Amino acid sequence: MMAPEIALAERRHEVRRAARAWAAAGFLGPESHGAITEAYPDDRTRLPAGFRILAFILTLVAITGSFGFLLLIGDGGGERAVATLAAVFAALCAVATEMQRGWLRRADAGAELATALLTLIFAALGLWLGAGLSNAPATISLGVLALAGLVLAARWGSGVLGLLAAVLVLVWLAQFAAARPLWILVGAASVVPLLAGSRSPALAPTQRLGCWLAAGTMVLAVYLSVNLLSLDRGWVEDLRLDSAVAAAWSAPAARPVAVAATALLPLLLLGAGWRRRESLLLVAGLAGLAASVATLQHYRPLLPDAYLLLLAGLITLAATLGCRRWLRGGPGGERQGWTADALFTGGNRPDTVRDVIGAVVFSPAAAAAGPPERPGEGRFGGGGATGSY
Amino acid sequence: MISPDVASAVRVLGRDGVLTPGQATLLGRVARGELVSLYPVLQTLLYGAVLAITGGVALLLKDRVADFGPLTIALLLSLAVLACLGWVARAAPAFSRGLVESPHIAFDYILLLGALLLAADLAWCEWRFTPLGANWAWHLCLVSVIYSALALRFDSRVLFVLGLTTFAAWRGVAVLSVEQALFAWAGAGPAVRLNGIACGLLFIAAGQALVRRDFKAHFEPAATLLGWGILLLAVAGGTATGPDASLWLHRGGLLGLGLLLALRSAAPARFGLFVMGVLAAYAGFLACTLPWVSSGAPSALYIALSAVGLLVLLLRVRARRARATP
Repeated sequence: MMAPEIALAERRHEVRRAARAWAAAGFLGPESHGAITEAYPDDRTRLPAGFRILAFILTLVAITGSFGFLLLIGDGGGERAVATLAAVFAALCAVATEMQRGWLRRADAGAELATALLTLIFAALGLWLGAGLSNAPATISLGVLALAGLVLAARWGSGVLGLLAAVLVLVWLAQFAAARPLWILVGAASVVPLLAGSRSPALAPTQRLGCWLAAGTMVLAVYLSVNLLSLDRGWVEDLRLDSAVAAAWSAPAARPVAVAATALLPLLLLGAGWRRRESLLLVAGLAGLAASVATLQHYRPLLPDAYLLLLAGLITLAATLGCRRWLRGGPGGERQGWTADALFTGGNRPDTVRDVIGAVVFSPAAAAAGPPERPGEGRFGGGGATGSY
Repeated sequence: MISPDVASAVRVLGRDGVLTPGQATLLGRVARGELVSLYPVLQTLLYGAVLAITGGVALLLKDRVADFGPLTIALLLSLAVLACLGWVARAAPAFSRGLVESPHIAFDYILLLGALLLAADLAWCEWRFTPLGANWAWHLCLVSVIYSALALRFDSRVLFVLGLTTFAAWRGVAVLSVEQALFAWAGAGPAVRLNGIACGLLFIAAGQALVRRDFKAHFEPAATLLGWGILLLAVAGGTATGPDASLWLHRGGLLGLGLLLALRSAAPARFGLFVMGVLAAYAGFLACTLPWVSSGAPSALYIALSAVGLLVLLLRVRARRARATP
């Protein structure tokens, strides 16, 4: 769905960025770095971080200021006028994003992300007011918005848009009477494909990042749905915008299932994260474990809060240092594909990295890189890319 | 960094001889996700452990004094501080004026824990046994000095920033409590702002001094960023209310200081300062000029057009700079 030339530019930029990190860590000599930069040219206009942040903020100010100006000269004009104006602004922002990314060949320039986000925000405003005028239920307007979020995330491939799309889907599902089971079902069913997408060569790098962040959001949603305290307090049901929808979903077995899931889900996430070498699941498991201990403390206090925190801190400290020692004790400083050391920074490199860095000094001068795409080998594709440029 | 694109590129680069077989093997493993670093997770866990222990101590001091008694708590905290800082002192490399690499992944975290526990111990002793009496706010100054000394000795930027923020907090707390009489002529708000401006200037000067003397020069960006942040916030605080002369002084000051900062921090490595400077100058410009624009729709249009104007100006500056760089 992403334009092929944009997907290709993103892939090249990903390689250039990786090469820069390797060179900064002393892992590549300047000649090899130069050869990689030459083999993977960047045809986009990018801005350095400071200019990018300012361009993002000033674009937001300029567009929302224009929207405010038009609202104020029309003296509000009623909800219908605001909804129409928001829809027009959403369309204009979408066109501006397309133009910047396509015709102007901009990437990492700040303004194109601002117009992309404003597309979604103005669409939300237009849909919300439009739904209010036509007395349509919130499920319809939020469903359309969630769909728009997914389409924009796929088209423009930003991590922020991927995250927002996942949040919009969850907010939409929260409008149904069976919001909690829907969160569990949709969340659990989407995590594996989203994680697969985050590693798929068929997707462009920013689409993969969007998938990865969306997967994290879905894991969080599943945990929040099964957590006992969340069930008792109705946190998921509190997200309903339409009070006419039936009260909190309940089932006779819900509580015992929630008790078991609160205890087991973090362990399952930890196990899956370790086995798949997926740090997202590992972090989610650790965060879930902390949340489950807090939930247990809420219902059945094990110790006074002060002692529990002290104990938890000491156990975490000891376990972290023990885990590091265990990993470093493995052959080459790694076990099952995990290393405790930073891979491409100045310090704490594992033995394997140190050996290769040592070898860089004796490595031959970099040969000029051949074309990066050859039939059947190292070919860029997918995400709409043609593989030729 | 799992990336099929990088994995594919590594294969091609290895075949073409740009990467050695050793490099290609390792980089390929990392790009394919066959070798994953747990380092960031371990660091997060260590930080979480420090926060949990510090939070536990705070709750202990708040709720569980009766379990031990005040003196026992003070002694237990002192023992914990000694254990942490003792380990740090043993593990630390010899002092150097430059950057020192951490000898252990837990080094910075144990140092931070020891420093935070020491601050808690001092605060507890001051609150419970009141050795400083009416001058109690000085204990914050003492904590700031201890943090800074530990930061310089053990090369910890986190502690250095904590030392500076504690110093600024000391000034704020002192002005509003024990030094009220001293600043009665100015009033509470202006007194806090004046102290903020003085703190900001002091931190910026401290950063410059570190570079000039080549003494922990890598701490300078933190001191400068914090100094400018406090300075601009203090000046911005006076742009909304007060007598006319003071208002215009603050608005003009924000515009001038913002411009000065933006022009002085054009290097790419200083992008945080550059952003801060441009935004402060823009806020100062709006504060100076908006009072002459009718409120409502004209103001909204003025803000939108000025943002577009600034954006165009920035893009031109960037393009000119890009052309000038070979």
